[in-house]
Amino acid sequence: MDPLTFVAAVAAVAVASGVLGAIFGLGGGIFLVPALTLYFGVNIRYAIGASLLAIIATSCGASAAFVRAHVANVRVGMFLELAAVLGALSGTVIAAFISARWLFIIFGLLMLYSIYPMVLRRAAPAAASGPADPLAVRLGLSGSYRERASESAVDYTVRRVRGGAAIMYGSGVISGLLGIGGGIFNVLAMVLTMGLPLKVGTATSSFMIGVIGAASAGVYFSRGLIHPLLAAPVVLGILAGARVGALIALRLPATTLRWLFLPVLAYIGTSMLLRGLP
Amino acid sequence: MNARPGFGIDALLSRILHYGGLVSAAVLLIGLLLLIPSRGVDRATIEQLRAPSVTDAAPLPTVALINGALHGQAVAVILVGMLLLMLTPVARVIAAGIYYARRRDRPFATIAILVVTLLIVGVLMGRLGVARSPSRTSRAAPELRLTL
Repeated sequence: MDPLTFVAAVAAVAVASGVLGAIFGLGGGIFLVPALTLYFGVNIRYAIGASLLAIIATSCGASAAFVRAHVANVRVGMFLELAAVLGALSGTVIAAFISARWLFIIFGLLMLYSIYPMVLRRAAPAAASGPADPLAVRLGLSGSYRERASESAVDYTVRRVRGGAAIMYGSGVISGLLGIGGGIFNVLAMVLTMGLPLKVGTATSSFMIGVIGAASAGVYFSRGLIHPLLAAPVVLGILAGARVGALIALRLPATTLRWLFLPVLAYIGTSMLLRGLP
Repeated sequence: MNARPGFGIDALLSRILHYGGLVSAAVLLIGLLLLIPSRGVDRATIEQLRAPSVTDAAPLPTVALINGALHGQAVAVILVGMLLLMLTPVARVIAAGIYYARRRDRPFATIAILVVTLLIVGVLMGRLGVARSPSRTSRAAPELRLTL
């Protein structure tokens, strides 16, 4: 393929991945890596490297807004980043020692797993209530945010800090291994385990994903696995796509079209899995 | 107003993230547009992406990179954009660290220092081959072919 055509085609696929990622609330990487590897024949390690950069870019834009609106909890984010960045570095080491085939298998399984919380999306997890973790009190992690609809401040306390940090470590491993943001696991750690409100958990996750991605990207970049001719169209395409996707998501009848996309997710996940199986 | 401690940090961090993302995206876009007239992109560079086994590249030639970017070479400009993008989250951790240190918030200043240290460790890991599989480092590593 002519190099310029290749770059243009990659940009187009990245736009589509960004749109889908924003509609699903999964981030663009989960569609981008399969598209690049299965349909363009790009080596999965380069695909992961490019995806990491795209994650940083989307996180910068989204979290700037969340932080400005005081929805993201910066203290919780900074604290958990420590565990997640450690995880990301571990993930890059694991990635270097396992074969590409295993990367496909793990990616496929994770994609299939991500369908599950989407099916349950309507039943938004209720923030667990209860006494604050003494460690959270000592670190001053509790916070409050303003509900836009009611204009009232919602106070919350933070629980099970150690458990949350352990899950964030795992989320970092996945980021370093597969080049995706791991937002589902971040929300699992912060909302279901630590009891942050869903809004705060999602915003703080987006805030952290940039740093987690930067940790993995640092390793991939210095290994020469972030290729400029792949990364540039991927980053710009996903940024543009995510913007369009967010607009579409606002207008979508919340559940109907999402349900239509579930088979797509299942199909891509299975394809990735099969690609890794002998 | 909100009583959360350290609220002033939000405006600072959000600005860094916003402008960091914006500037790096703009540089990447300029680099991509420069590709069109240059037409000099090596076909082998694209083929390399499809190779069944990846090749660990030699460290980037920093001087050649900056020189290339100043001369408007597309790939060099893209690389600068990539570096700016990767440094944006790092800059926000450093800014937060300084903010907490000034407020004598010892635990969080320490956390920021540790995170930055880990980010540097990551780059060193890639360079020194800790995060490379033994089979791949032992092979002679051809350079990433850049048309610098």
